[in-house]
Amino acid sequence: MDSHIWSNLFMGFGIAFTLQNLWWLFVGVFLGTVVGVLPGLGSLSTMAILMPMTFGMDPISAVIMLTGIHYGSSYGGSTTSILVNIPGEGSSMMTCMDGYPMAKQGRAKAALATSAIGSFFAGTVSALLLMFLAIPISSLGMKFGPPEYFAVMLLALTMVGSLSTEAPLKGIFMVLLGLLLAVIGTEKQTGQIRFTFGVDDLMDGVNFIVVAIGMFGVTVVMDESERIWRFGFKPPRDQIKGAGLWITWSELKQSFMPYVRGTFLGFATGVLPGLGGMTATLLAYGVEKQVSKHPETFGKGAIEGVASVEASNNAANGANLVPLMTLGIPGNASTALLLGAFIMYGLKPGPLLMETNPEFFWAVVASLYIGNVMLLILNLPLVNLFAKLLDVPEALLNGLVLALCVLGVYTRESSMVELYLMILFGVFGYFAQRYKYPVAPLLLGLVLGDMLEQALLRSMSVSNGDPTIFFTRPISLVIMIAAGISLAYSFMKFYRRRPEENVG
Amino acid sequence: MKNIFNFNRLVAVLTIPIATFLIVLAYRAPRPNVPQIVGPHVWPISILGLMIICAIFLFLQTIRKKEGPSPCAAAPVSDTEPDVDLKWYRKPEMTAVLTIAGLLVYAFLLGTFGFLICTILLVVYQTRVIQKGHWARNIITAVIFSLAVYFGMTKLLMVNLPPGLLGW
Repeated sequence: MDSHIWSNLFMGFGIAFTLQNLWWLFVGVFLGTVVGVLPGLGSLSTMAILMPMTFGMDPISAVIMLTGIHYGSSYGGSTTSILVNIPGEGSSMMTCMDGYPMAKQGRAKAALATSAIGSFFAGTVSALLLMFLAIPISSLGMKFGPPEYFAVMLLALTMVGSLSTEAPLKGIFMVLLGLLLAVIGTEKQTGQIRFTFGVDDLMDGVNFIVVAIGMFGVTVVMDESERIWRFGFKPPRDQIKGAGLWITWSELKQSFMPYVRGTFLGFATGVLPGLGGMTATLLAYGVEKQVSKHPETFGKGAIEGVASVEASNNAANGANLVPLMTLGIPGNASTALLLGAFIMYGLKPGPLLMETNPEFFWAVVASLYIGNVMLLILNLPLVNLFAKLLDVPEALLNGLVLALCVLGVYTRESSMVELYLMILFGVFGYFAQRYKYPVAPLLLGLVLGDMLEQALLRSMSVSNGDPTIFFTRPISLVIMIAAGISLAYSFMKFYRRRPEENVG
Repeated sequence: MKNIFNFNRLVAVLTIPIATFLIVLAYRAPRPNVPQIVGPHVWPISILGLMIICAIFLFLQTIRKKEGPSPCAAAPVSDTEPDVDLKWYRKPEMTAVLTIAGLLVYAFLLGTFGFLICTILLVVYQTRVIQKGHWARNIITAVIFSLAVYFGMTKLLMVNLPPGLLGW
């Protein structure tokens, strides 16, 4: 099996190393770093806005670029956390804890270097793990029939709904809303038109890109406008002038075990649906503080804090790809977007992906290795250049992002209805964010909704309408029990908390 | 009951009648002639039913008697406190309202004025919403950006964008 993996990987490198794919990979990781550095604008909004523009591209190049944005953003996210104490990405929040104090002590370069090296280490290890786990997981997936697929998608949704938010009730509500949005349009098996209210543009359903650009693009512009109005423009930035040499050998030695711990914790967390980079970084920071001989230094510029957090964040980003690439199940909003892209490019995500499109799978895996090397090169010597991005006039940037949102939606189908839908989802996303309704479960519900319904209908056809089919097949039974446990957990959390905490 | 307007309560109160209406709509929709073990109405009705249950829980939570101040409630809301004395049109939330207003006007005018003019206006307008001055910089950037995007899309990628008044 091992030789099979290596030969496939070489084939993947062969495809990834073409000039065209290298270029798009570079564009992806570069854009990822840029949007990671810029506070507010994140990988999600960038992926959503750029997706319609990748329609004409070769699917491999397009996915390589989009995944590059996905993992590249966490490299850039740490730069702003360390230099100006503002997390460029939500998951870089914990990097501020020790990164910024390090910068204030004049050790900005050491913090930036440990973060870039940690990200590289974790990114490479998680690509290795993805490679070795893919074959066993997809072989298990081969045994899946419609009931197992239904169960595994249900598990992903219940986990994302209940674990991705502090208020599980809201998460579950948003999953249901996403599933309901997915119902709109023409039903595949019977051709019945549902909930279109006479609007022809809705016959094909509500497109996930329109929803994503609305909720992640327009909402970001609205939030950023408010933030700039409230807090002004320029954050102070003079720490980069600090220490001379970038990182010492002893600092690197100090960071090594935190890298290892952070990587494995991040990977284990990221594989599970609903638990993304944020949870991984919180967990890694907590564990590192626990095992440290000097826990009192944490929060005051401990290099181990930066190292483990960055490694866990990047490992989680890599791990997110495992369920997506092997089973076709996304665990968070970014991978839901990627799944939507796979479907749009005519790929059939799931365990058969490796059989039917091995060149696609292995080229993406190979691109992860190359992308991480590119990111290390971009983020070590060129970090000063990226830090200069903070000087870009934010107000103007906001205007340009808004124009790109419009362009992203309009170039898809030239539909005015979709443009109005984007605005509607922008407003919806704004209120959802304000009142702490998580939007990732909605997007996941929307992307998985149709597949979930089809799996249910096929299961019912197989069993002649007997719903016990989900509980009489062993794999399906185990997954359904897991889904039940995740729901029970969220209900336990719900009843143990104060009412106002449950609803935010 | 100090605060009658509560967002979660509003969500719950709106969800229940809307979901009920949609259930009726799905149930009454003409069934297709294709023989089906599970009809196309079952899935949406199940989702809507679960949404109603969720909304009831959400509503009950908002009226459950508070046992004391929660840690969340006790947390200072320093972000919003300085805004209290501001006039309504100076509040930060107005930037979000103006963003949406700008987008609606953009969508309304797109067909008539075309992509190029509308996009230049949108970028300049959105920048002005949060920052005064810098007109020359903003207009030049907006024009270059819009021209690049317009010609890049229409001439290189052969994507149709509304030409509008300019007729290019």
